Amino acid sequence: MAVPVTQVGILRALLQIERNLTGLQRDMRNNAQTWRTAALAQSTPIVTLASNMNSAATAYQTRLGWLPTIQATPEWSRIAALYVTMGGTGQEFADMMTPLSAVADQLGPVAKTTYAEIIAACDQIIAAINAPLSLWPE
Amino acid sequence: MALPQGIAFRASNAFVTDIAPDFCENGVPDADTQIDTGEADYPTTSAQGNNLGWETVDVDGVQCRNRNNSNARLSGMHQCTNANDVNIFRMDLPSTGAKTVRLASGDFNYGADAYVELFDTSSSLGILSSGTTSAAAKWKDATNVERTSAADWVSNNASASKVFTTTILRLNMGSGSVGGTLSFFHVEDSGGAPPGPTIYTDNLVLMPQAML
Repeated sequence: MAVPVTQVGILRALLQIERNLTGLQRDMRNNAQTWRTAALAQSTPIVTLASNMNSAATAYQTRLGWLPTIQATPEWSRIAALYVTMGGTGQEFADMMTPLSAVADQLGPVAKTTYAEIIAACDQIIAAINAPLSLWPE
Repeated sequence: MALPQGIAFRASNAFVTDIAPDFCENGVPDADTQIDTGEADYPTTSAQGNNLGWETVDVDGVQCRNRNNSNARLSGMHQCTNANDVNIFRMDLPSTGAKTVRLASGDFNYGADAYVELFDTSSSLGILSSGTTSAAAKWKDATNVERTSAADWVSNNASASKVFTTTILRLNMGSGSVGGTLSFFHVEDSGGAPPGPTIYTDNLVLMPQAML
C-alpha cells in the first residue's frame, strides 16, 4: 500500500524548492567570483576555466529544470496553495526563475576565449545575481 | 557537468588554496564546525560545474574541521558525531559507466573512524574504507589501505574502479554502528587524467607514483 502524499510531503517539496533556488542563486555568485579570481590571477588555463563554466551552465540548467517538472504534476496545486498560506504568490516562482534562467542560458554561449572575456562574463553574472538574503554572512 | 571532480572536506574555504579540479565542501555556513540536519547543502553547484553536497545529515550533525594547511587535500575533514550516525553525500555524475575513485579517510590530529561506503543511487558498490586509522595523520585510501603520512597518501594512494549504471553517486559516511570520516574524494572517468598536479618539465611529464 503506497504512502499517501500528505501535507508533510508537500512541505518537503516546498522546502526543496527553497533550497534549490536560493542555493542556485548563491552558487551562481560564488562560482562567478571563483572564476573571476582565477581569471584575474591567470592561474588556471583559459580552456579549463571555459570548460568549468560550460559544465556549470549544464548543471544550472539541470537544477532549473526540476521546478517545471514538479509544476507539471498533480501535486503542484497543493504546493502552490501551501506557499500562498505563507503570503507568497505563484508569480514569485517565475520572478525567481527569470534572472537565474537568463544567467544559465547566457553562460554556455558567452565568449570565453580570453581572460578578459571570462572576467566580463563573471562581472555580468555578479551584477545580475544578488546574494540571497541571509541571517549570517555567506 | 563534467569530470574529474575532487572534493576537499574541511571547515572553511580560505584555509588553503584548493588544487584543480577540487572543490571545498565546507561547513555550512562557511567555517561552521557542525553541519546540522537542516543545513544539508545538496544541491550545490561546484566551480567545476557539478551538482553535489550533503544530502542527508544525521540528527547528530556532521563535524567539520580545518586541521593542517600543508596539504590542501588532507587539510581538514568531515566526520560523524557519533558511531551510530549515517550521513550521505551525493554527487550527480555527468554520465554512467566506469569511474575511478580516490579517497582519503582520516584526521591530521587524531586516529579516526573510517567507514565510507560507495553507492550507485541505492546499490552498494562496496565499502571503500572501514575500521579506524591507527593514529593521527594517517589516511585510508579507496582500497582500505592505511597510508602512513600525507606524503605516503599523495604518492601511493590506490584508486578503485567502479561501474555506475545511474548518474547518482552517494557516499555513506558511517554505517550506523561504525563512524566515518571524509577528508578527500576524487572521481573521474576511468582512463582519465591523474588527480594530482602534473609537473611538466621541458620534455618530461612526471606523474604521481600511484598512476605508474
